[in-house]
Amino acid sequence: MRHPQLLIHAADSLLSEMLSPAAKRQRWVVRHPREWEEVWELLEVGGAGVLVLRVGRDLEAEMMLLERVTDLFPDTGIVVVGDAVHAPLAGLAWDLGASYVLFLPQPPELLEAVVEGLMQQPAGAR
Amino acid sequence: MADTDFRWQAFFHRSADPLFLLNRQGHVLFVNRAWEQLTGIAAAQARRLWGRRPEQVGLERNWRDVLIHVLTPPAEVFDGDVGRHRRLVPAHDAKPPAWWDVDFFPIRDGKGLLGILGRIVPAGAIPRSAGPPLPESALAARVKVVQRLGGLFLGSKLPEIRRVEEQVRLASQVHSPVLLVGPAGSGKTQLARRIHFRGPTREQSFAAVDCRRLPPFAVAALLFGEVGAASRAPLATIYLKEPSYLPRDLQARLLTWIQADAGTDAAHPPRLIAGISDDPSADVAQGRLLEDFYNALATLRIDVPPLVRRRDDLPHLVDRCLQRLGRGKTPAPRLLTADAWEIVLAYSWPGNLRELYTVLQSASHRSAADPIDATHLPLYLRQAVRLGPELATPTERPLALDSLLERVERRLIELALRRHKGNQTRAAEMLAIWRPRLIRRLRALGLADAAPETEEPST
Repeated sequence: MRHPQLLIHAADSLLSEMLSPAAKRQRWVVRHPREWEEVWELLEVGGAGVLVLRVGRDLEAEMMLLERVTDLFPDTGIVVVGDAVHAPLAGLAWDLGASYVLFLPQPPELLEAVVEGLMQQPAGAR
Repeated sequence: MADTDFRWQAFFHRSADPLFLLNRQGHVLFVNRAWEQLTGIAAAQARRLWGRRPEQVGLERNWRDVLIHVLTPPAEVFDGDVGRHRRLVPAHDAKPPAWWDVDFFPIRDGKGLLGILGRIVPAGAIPRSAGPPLPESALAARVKVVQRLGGLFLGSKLPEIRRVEEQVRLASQVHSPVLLVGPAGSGKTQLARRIHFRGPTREQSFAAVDCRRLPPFAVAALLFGEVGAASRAPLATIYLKEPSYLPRDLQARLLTWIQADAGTDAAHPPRLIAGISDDPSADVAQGRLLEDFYNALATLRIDVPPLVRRRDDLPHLVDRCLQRLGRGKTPAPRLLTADAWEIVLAYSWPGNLRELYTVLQSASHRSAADPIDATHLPLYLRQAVRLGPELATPTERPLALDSLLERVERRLIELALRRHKGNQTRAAEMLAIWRPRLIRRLRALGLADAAPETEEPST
């Protein structure tokens, strides 16, 4: 049986560390793609999972990535994580299809719980 | 000739939309009165402007530089495609900073680009409390999404779908809650997005909240909390997917939103749209959905049909899926072969549009850029279509479990012995059984003579 995949797109390891206990417990396959092409290949081959997208370093590329994943892989849950509260950025991320938006710092339990929930298949998915 | 020229200019001057005309190099040839009023620049001055500055202009730059940036078409327009971009416009003439959406329509003759007609649509002032505005480049993705959602829904001739289109159009013009009822995968989320992005609050944000998958406390934090979740995003519309999964107290709080919104002219809470896959009255009867909440949501109810009732739309839907896949990394196939079409048209699509898209996505991956044929479609699909009515009354076939297990056991033992060159001790270790058991099984399976014991030379 294929293990669900967790893709973390971030410049540092903070999110990986926050999610590592849950990933081990739930036996997620964790990957760290850097570019859109890698994300695309992982989702196409590995199936829908969850993408955790840290934003703030290159907004244009990050928002394009968010829009493309929503468009091409609609069953993939996407959690957008920002560094500091920014209302317009939150609004934009929601518009582009984020499944959840949150800003650091946050207790790891919130991020874990959101990712665990989104790992479930959408209703009616095969 | 002079008469005709005069008439087209007068025609454009009557338009309430700010319009401009560029030559193929991007020089301004004409602007109408609405453009002059919006920008505060007279036509004679405007004709000295040249739209060749794609980089975002800082808010402190002069107005002329800002307008040049506004007038600069995106690259695809010079290739003959319609383009749109969103431009940040600083405060001027006592007006606050704002976003302008600018549409560019290329005009071509037989040889190539002749000129570009442009239209400015002010998209709204930037609220002061919102923090620093986002860079234009970050908004480019949103512009694409809004363009896609603004087009014709389907162009379907089916009465049921045309009814849905009309209801979506009506829903986009009012603020009342909407309930979308349709099977899973039938496109309710996309409809909710259309309702929002075609309505008067489209400049504010839309959030789709999956009540089934997200934990209730995370949903509560988003809707009512302070803890960084919604971060006061300017949410005008919240789409609740499967609200029956919300705890009843959350449903009750959302009901107070709807009731408060209905009774006052004060600032609106976000508008609610809900999507339900099952029969909502069954959810109410079983206590999963508060009856008052359901009644409030169902102010405007839109029933979305399953894909099996839209077979006539399948060619168009398949085409749209393939176009969508073509936006991905590699070119997607644009065609299905006749035998693939036969299966697509015959299958019942219980997973609806979502299943159609997923099937075409995986078939596209298998076929690379070649036309999709039947062998690229998933096996379950081909079997479901070819077995046809027999599926309704499947004949029972005994499953010979013992025989199957014996075959598997035989195969594993043979593999282990071959791997270890007949060494039974090593083979038993590999199979995680004791050697005496392996010997008994070899005799029982009739493999004892074919697998004589061999021992590796001791070292």
